[in-house]
Amino acid sequence: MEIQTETLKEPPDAGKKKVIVDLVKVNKFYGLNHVVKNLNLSIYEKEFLSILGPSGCGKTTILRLIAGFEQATSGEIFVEGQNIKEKEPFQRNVNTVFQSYALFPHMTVYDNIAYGLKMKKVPKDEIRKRVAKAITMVRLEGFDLRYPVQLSGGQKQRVAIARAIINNPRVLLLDEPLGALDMKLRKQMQIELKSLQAYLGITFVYVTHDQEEALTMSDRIAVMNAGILDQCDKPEEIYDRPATRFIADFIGETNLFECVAELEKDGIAYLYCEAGDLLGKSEGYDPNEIVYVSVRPEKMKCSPAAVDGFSLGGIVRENIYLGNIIKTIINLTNGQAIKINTPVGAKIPQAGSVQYVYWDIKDAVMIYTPSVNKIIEQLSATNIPIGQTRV
Amino acid sequence: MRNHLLKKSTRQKFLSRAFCALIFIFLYAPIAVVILFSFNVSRRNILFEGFTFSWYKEMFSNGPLLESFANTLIVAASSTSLAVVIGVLAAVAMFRYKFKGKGFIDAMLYVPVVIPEIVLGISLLASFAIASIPLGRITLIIAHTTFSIPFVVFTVRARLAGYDKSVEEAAMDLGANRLQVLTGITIPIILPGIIAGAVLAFTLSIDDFIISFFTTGSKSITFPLKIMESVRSGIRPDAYALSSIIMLVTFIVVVVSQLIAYRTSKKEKL
Repeated sequence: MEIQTETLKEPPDAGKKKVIVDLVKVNKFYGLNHVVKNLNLSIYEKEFLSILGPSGCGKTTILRLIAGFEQATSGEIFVEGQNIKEKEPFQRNVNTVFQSYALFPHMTVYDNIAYGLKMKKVPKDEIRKRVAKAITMVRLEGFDLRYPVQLSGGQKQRVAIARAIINNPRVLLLDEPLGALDMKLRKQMQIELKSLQAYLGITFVYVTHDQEEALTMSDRIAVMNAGILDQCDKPEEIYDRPATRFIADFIGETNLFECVAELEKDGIAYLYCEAGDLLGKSEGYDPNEIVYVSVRPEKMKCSPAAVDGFSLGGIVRENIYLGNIIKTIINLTNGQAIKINTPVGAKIPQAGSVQYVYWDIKDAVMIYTPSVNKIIEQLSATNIPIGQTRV
Repeated sequence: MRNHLLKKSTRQKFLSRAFCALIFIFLYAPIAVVILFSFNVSRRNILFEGFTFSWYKEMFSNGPLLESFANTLIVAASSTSLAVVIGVLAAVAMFRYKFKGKGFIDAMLYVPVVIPEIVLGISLLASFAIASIPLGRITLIIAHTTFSIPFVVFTVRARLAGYDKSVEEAAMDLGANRLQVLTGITIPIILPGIIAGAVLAFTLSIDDFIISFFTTGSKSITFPLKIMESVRSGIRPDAYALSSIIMLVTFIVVVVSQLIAYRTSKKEKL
């Protein structure tokens, strides 16, 4: 596990990253519905980029804009440096794996996979060789003559992937390709997809609403929220240093405190929230500014007596055994439920006892929420219409 | 008690079978009579007096009868082809696009189906008169196409109901242009619907009398019109012979189309 995270830290060819897909100030409206808001996103060659967000956040629309099924209302999209605005989907060197697989029901597995090459008028002998190779790659040997209805969900998925990669696209777009599979198969396919991407050395743009999937597979994750790109960074950056309150809440489990800054001294921010006082990292807050503090359950601690700077008392509601960890739920005085994960074997507080929660200051993730005055300042400086920003 | 129930159920079984048999007799006896009498020696169709093929021979030397039959086939084939082309395009367009007046067009499609044929016949006749198109084979084909289009649209649309649009996007994504998507993906997938619509249109056209009566000229007589004409002087058995052949042709068309539909559905459902 340690080794894997180490290798993930540096995307392949980190030194000479080349942009392959570039979205510049892209906006998309469906009628009055603003689904993609002023999106700037550069996707690098050979990287595995996930676009992550809840349903309706505009992530699939971004994929359809790159594939050419939708036209951007404004903004430009470049693939390999070329503006693709005027290009039809069949003229773009990108291929898509659809959520519903979209296999051709009247064709065999072989004909499905060969379709792209046939359209490109590749000689028959070469088609046969390349289809055979693709079938081996996705481990569907012996299924050539079956029709899609004779395949299981996982097999259909493999056909859809083979059908797309056989065309040697520079970029492969995947729209929640594992959404319809059961848990176990999904885990298996995640690993297969990841190794396939490494083997082929092509860019994967992977749309998903499953944060765990995004965290395990991606070189970088672009987190979308209501049409806005909140953050685009390496998985561990997204997890450890979420840029917005939304991401802190959306990615993984966390304890989120809405606080007011009181004062800062020696790199420590003194804050208070509804349930009591707490400490965080100093980031130059003005007094009375609203700050969100996020603390992961595994970083959260508790003791029977209040620790200096903290006064978040509560009653232990229950201890839940989860195999390798025990999850303790503590209800604070304002009703907020705090989650603490403790490894099995470590000391855990007794249910019903009074406990005070606290954390190491370095484990507190500070999420800065600009005050209204600052937002107005920013807006007047950048000239962005108010409809396109979110507080 | 149990025995009693059992007894009753065997009686019910007998009754239901008898009822079923009656329905089949009611449906098929007249047809059987036509086929039988096409082999009858007697010219008057009251008694079966002996077996002969002579009416079939005579039929092939009956110029006007054969001519009317050929005309019927030409009209049916042309109007079916036209209705299929127009109907398929209409169904696909109405499935794929949203446009103003779609609901109105949708409702209007039912009109030729539900209004009495005689009204449709008269209105077509009036239209041709206003447009001063001389009545003949052309007007007949136009008229038959008119009442066939809705049937093609309905059957194709039923097929499209379960159609996944992303299949077309996938084809385009793989390099197919719009025409290739239509011919290679959309049409093969909706083919069973197209065939069903074509068979309906073809059979409706072959046996149409009322609309044909209003919309054709004296030089373009169809088979049903010819039969009707000869009824006054008494139907000769060679008309029976031709009817039997038409039945055979229709039967073959239906069987073949069912086979194609079966093969496609087997591919999809197995």
